[in-house]
Amino acid sequence: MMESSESLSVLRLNEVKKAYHSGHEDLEVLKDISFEVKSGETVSIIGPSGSGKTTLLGICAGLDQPTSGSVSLCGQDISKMGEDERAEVRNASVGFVFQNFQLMPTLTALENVMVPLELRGEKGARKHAEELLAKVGLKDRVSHYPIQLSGGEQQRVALARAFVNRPSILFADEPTGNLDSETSVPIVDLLFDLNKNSGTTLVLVTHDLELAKTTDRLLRIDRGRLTEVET
Amino acid sequence: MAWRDMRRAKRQLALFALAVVAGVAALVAINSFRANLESEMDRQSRSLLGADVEYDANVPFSDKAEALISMVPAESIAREIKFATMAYFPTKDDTRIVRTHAMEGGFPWYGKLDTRPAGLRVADSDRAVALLEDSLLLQFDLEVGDPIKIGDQEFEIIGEVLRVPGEGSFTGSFAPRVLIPMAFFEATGLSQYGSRLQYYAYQKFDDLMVEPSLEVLEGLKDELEGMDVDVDTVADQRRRIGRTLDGMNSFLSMVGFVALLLGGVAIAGAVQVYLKAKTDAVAILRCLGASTSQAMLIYCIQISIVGLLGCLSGAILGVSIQSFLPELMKSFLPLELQVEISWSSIFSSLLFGWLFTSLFAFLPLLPLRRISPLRAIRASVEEGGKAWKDLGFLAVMAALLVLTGVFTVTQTQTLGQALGFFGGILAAMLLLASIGWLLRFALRRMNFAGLPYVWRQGLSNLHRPNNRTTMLVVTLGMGAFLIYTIYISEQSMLRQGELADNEGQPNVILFDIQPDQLPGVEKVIDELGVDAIRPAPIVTMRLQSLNGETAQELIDDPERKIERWAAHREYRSTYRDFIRDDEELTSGVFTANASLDSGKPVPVSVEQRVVDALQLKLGDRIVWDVQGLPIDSEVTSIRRVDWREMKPNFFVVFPAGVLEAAPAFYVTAAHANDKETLVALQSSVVKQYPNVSAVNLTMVLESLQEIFDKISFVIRFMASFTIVTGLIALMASVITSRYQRSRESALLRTIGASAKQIRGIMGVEYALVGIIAGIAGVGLSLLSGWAVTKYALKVELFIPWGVTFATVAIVAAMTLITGMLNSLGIAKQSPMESIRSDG
Repeated sequence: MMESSESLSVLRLNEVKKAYHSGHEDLEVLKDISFEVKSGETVSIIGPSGSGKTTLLGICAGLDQPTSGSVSLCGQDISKMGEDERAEVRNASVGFVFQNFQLMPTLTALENVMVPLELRGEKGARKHAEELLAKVGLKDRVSHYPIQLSGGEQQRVALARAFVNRPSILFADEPTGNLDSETSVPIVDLLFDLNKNSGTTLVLVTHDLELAKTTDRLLRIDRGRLTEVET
Repeated sequence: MAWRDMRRAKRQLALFALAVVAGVAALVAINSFRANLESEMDRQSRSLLGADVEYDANVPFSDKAEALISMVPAESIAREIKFATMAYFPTKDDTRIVRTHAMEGGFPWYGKLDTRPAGLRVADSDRAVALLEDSLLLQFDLEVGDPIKIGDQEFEIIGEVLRVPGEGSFTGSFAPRVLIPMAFFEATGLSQYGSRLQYYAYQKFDDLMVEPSLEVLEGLKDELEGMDVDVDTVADQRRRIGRTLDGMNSFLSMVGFVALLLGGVAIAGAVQVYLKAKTDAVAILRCLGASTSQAMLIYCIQISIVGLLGCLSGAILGVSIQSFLPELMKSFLPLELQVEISWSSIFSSLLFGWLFTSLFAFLPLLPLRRISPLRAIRASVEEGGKAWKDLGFLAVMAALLVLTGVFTVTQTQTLGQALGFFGGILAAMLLLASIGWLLRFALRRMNFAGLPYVWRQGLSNLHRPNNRTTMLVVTLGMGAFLIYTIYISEQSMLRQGELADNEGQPNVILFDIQPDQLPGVEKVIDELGVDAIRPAPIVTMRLQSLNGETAQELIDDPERKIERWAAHREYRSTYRDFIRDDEELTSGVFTANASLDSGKPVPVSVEQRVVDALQLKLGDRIVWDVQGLPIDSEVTSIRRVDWREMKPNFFVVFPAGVLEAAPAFYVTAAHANDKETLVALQSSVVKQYPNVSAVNLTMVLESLQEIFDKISFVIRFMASFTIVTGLIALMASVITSRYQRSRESALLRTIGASAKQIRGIMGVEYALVGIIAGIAGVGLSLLSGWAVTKYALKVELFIPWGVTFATVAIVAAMTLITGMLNSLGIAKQSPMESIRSDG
């Protein structure tokens, strides 16, 4: 595909396959996928339900391993790493935003945001987390538990958590999927805002074509195959 | 629908069932056993006594008493004299204290004197033969045909006695029984003064005359008892044994009940977590048009069915345990017990267990009624309202309390005991719950800024929403509390005599030495080179009056809360002109010499325990009945002695010059350096002076230990149900919170936590809960141990600190291990789960 220098590439997949055993046959979910994302780029992956979007995202982010092929994330080949090593890479360089927010129900908003820094044992986690929560407009909700927050507020907490460890790359999986259109707009604005300010690379999985069009590049996945869409 | 909804949660529900099992099993086992015992006692009621009536006194029956007894129409009469004495085994040249029964006549007429070989009797034998308790033959390696010497008379051992009607084999643990013919009692030479003999007469009524005979007896009873003759009929004996066994059974069934209670608490916790996952399902059902009661009913049915299954398995387990109980408690039972299935007890225990646990399970079910269908479309809708304001919640709580109350009263059969037990358990649970609450409260306010993340997260999990801290502290703490209370009570009791093993402390005590035998005994002691204390004379006396009030008036006086034993006991007092080094004079002045002729009251020194029991103070006047002679005395000093010292200690010490003329016998204690010297001392004294008892204190301690082992085994057996339930409760709570945990840890994995960090967080959490539960439970048991030793056992509390800390560590380790074993795999959870949309 594209030729570019290693230093600019944040994510590179090379002939990645993913197959699952289903009964007596193998079900190939991802077929020979190769692509590259450069530092600071924003990329959308679109596709219908069951096309393999989430599987691809999981492999890109080092949550899952490919059956074959290689994945390089922030200059490290994560396809050969064990789960704990990958966890280290994720903690150091990756941020996540999920459709269903995925906040820890037993932690307050502030504590949720602090977790990635605390896992690293970084000092000043609280101050940094407070600043970020203020930035996403939740200054007064720091000590609330997720159940006490609205959907939009929960996603703001999730955004703050995603950016708190200053990730090189952010994966967002249907970030507005669980929100109404009114709530969605400010969340998307916030996401892009934060992304721009921190210079993070963004990989966005969505089936909202309008949202997808706002990114630099658009990739379409269908029945396990990935194609680049000209915007 | 209830069934369909259950399919995916089989494992969680199986655990609820399991939490019920142990409690119900314990209840069924104990209650069936109790029913068995009751019916057996009714069936064999006459064999509990072996006769229709028993008379006993500690002096030979007077002519008048004999005349009264002979007025009761009876078919036959039998007699027995029981006394503790030293037995000497010539073939082994060894001695042991035994309880001798000199028997005459056909007693027992009911039940059987169980012997090996079967059918042996000694009562009317014209040969000097003896039946020995089986343990005695075993201990001294004796065989049938060997001789045994009681006093001056040698008997031939013809067999073993296994059971005496009305007595459990436990009775013989301390002093094993030896049965001899009455005809040879005189020949033993033990009927002289100083021996403590108990005289018995038994009557068998004509079968057709039982009622009239009892009526006559009823008319004479008061008169006989006025002459210090105790009269016991079959009904009295049945009542007395019933009371003892009831006490034991109530205790055991209460322990079973605690297991059930813990199971209930565990179930409530487990159901709560289970239903958390069902909240959305209920909201959806409500959206689809299900009414509140329909939605509730689904889970009510589920929980009741699972509870019932648990109770049924518990009942089956209980029935199989029941068959072990008679074996386990054999030594305490006065009769042989056949295991029978008591359907009524099984049914009632089952019903109670089921109702009780279902009610507990309904507690967390109630909030489901308030779930808004809105939740199905908006996840953030909150369930509102405090449980305390919910009428349904209050009704279930009230039902639980009433059920517990009814159960406690029926089990203990007395209101006072029921209240005491119920109050005690409730207080312990509340205390543990408040410790759990305090822990959460403290953790919430504490700042752990300096600690590593894993520690902070683990500690915070203990107070964050959905925590199980209080429940775990209560269940585990309760188990530790029960078991450790029993342990320290036992240890404190055993500790009483432990000093006897110490270097230089007396390990043999010689009592009942007659004045003329004293020089001879001292000579034996000298020849063996044994250290002995100066022999102390003993004069027996009773309290006649205190400050002008008679013993009976003192007891009847509601103003003076004196202890009954102190007013009625036979005091074995001594006299001397010095105070021993190991006695501590706490107030007053010890008077060394006095005389009866001075016209003044005799100055006496009283020990602190009697001072407490009779509420004495310096200057109080006591008149003692010294074998018919009243002696006026005044309390002029108060001493404290260490009762653990195995020396002859006395409640009352008279000055020299007062009691010398009164009939007395002597007691002394000695320390033999090795076992051979000890045996030699015992046997040479007993051979020369058969009436003297030379008791090996080490052996006494061993017997005591054995008795405790038997009791504590039964108690531990029952308490293990509580522990098992506690562990199941722990497992239930861990497994049911797995769902939530696995989400949390998948999420933590996603944002970069290592498996080690996740395990660390859980480890900190479980270890801390375990430590706190251990400390709380063990701490509480120290408190109750103090109460038990002070008020029930009347011994000093001994706390083995090493074992105490080890117990806390064991509870913590068990919690940690159970917690971690059940969480296996959670730390390894694939992070992919968090991005799959079901959440």
